[in-house]
Amino acid sequence: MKPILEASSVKKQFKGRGRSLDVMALDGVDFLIHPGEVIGIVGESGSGKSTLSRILVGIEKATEGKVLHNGEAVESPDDWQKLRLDIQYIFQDPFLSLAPHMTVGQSIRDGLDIRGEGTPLERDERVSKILELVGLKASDANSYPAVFSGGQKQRICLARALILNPKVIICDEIVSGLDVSVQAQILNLLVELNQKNGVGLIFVSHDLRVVKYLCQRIIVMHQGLIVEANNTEELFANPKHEYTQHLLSSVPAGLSIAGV
Amino acid sequence: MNKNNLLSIKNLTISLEGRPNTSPIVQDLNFEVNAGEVLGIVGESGSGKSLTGLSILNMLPKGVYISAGQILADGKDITKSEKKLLRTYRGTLFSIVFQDPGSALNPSRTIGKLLSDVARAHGNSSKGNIREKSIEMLKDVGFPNPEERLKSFPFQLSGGLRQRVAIAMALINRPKILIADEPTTSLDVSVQKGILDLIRRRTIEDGIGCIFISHDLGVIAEVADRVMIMYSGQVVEEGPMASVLTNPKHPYTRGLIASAPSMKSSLAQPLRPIPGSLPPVGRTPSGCAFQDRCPEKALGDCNAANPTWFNDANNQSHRWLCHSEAKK
Repeated sequence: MKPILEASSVKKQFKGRGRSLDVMALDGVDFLIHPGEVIGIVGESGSGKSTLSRILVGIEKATEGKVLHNGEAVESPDDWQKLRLDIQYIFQDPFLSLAPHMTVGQSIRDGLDIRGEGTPLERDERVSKILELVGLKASDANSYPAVFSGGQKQRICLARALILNPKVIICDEIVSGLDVSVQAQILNLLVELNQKNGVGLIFVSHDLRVVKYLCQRIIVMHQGLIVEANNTEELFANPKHEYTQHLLSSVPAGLSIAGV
Repeated sequence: MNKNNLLSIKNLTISLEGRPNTSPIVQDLNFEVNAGEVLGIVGESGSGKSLTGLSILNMLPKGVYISAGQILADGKDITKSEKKLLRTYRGTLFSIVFQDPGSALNPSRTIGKLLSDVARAHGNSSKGNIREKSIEMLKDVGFPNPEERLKSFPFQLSGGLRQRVAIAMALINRPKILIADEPTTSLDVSVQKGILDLIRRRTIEDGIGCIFISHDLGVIAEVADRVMIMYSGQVVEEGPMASVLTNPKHPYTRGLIASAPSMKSSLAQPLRPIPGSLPPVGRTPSGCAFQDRCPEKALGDCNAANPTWFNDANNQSHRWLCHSEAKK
């Protein structure tokens, strides 16, 4: 099977301002994801995991290297638009990523409106369906984001991404701000979307426990480089790189006496 | 009274001002903190855990007040103390470490100044003395090269180092009680471990009492001796850490454990989330607060009157609040 999305020797340098130095956020990184795959990117803050995922959808431009979509280099603005038909992005903070003055229905419908898919009536129907898919009510489309809790807002963001039938969703720390009971609801929803609808996921997180649960393959990043990549079981059973070992030993293990 | 007892909270109730029809946001809380131990408070956002911490320092936000109960620190009732007196308590008797060290430290002061400010405001040390004290304190919290870093500003430090500075500021006047409100939530796992170890070590070595507040049961399990599980303003289960974890009694505690991913979790054993969400602040239902989300509701008379406390037969200090003891 051909990878749907690839990054090839990507480098990203952020120019320093004033006295601060230039930062090499990514120092030559290769990455690829096949349709239907769930890949975790872990690392501490500053390791480059968010920069990599932002480059993959073109929110940041790589200083060097290429992004490939279905095996072809993405270069012109048209290429990027085509890429975004397949790839969606969900941000960490659901409170900041929904327009407060638009109803939930309008926010979710926006992508369809821009692409001009279907008649207006059909679009509304799709909004209702997608809201039910993520565990909300069709009538929620008429409410504003302010009346929803954090977990519900993250479901709305998920609905907004899903309505365009993406092949891959990039989730940048999307459960970090949520309580565990709600976090588990969202994680199980992602599992269901992957297993039933075949949506691929790139799951960026600093929480190894969550990544272990969700992902088939894991990439460990440190100081702008991928230091280890392996399938989940191998990586946890037999971490090779020193930094991976350090990360694994830092995870709070206190709950293990509860038998979980 | 127990000689090691540093703080006891009796029937503490926190309510919203001018909203007589709402239920209290913290209800009838009772607990003690002893020297050399960490008490963990776990709960979801909105459960009242942070307000409990703030109420001890009398730092409740506007519109929220202590409507009943007592806070006894070192044997004194401080609930209705005058402002001036409270000032002397803060910093020397209690201190607090907040979640985000980035916004808790004054960005325009150097590390040295931040520490000497606190030392001078509450202690009675001379200038030279303060410098030595600051360096010693920074060493105690595992800060590398403290002599050279006294002139650094907070923005020049990493998140983990900033939190170490915040902890040094909290401990420099040797308080008896340290309140740590989600001190590691904004930090990376690898840094988190160091901070947890530090708080544990200082608690034991200095014989202080620590209240550690977090939404992450996994973190609390690492650091606490005893734990209180809060839900919608009430404690629903409390007891020694090991007993609560190995033998959780309240359906909410069981739900928390079942929904928390751990290093052993995999898709073969799916997480079991607690359905629904916390009742809105001030609208705790009568009867059991957890009834709407409880998977074992059918077993008891959950909206009738108030639930009662049950004690674990093997461990009398482990107790939980429910309508029916039989729930499994």
